[in-house]
Amino acid sequence: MIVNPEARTAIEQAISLNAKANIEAQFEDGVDHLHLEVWDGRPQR
Amino acid sequence: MTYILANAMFPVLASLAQGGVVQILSLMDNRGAPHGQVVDDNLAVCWGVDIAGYAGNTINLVNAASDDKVPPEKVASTIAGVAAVIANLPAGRYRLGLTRPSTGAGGPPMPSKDVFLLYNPPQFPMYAHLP
Repeated sequence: MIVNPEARTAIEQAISLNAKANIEAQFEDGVDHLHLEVWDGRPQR
Repeated sequence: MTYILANAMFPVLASLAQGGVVQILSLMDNRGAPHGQVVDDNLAVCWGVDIAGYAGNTINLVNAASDDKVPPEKVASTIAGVAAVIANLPAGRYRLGLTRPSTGAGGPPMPSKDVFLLYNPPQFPMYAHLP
């Protein structure tokens, strides 16, 4: 659950408008960036 | 060591670049995961990127410990940058490490200033060293 109401609205809206991008997990990371992992880039096992 | 981008990274970076200037803080270094993986003695594949700004929006929640809250303009810019990244991703599966407030990289948690996710030591490995 995103704390800040403006952040929650913006993120939920972005996710809903771009349904082809599947955000599978969200976690806290660094202070000065957004960390983005491209899951499809991992070696397939 | 040779570092290469995973094939899936190319359309992601290209799609983001079409939506605005991408300020890349880092791709992969010798730390490996979560930015990528060493696959043999001389080759590492990168599948993660740290983005410091996007489409004119700086992504940064660094603030002074004495501040009552993170400066509103920083919060607004960070929210806009993160939302714009999400909006411009191509089809695919992703994991997001959202920005947290602190006095600097590796700095203490500041739960009262959280913007995205709540401070939650058991859930986030980055807080494992804290009581």
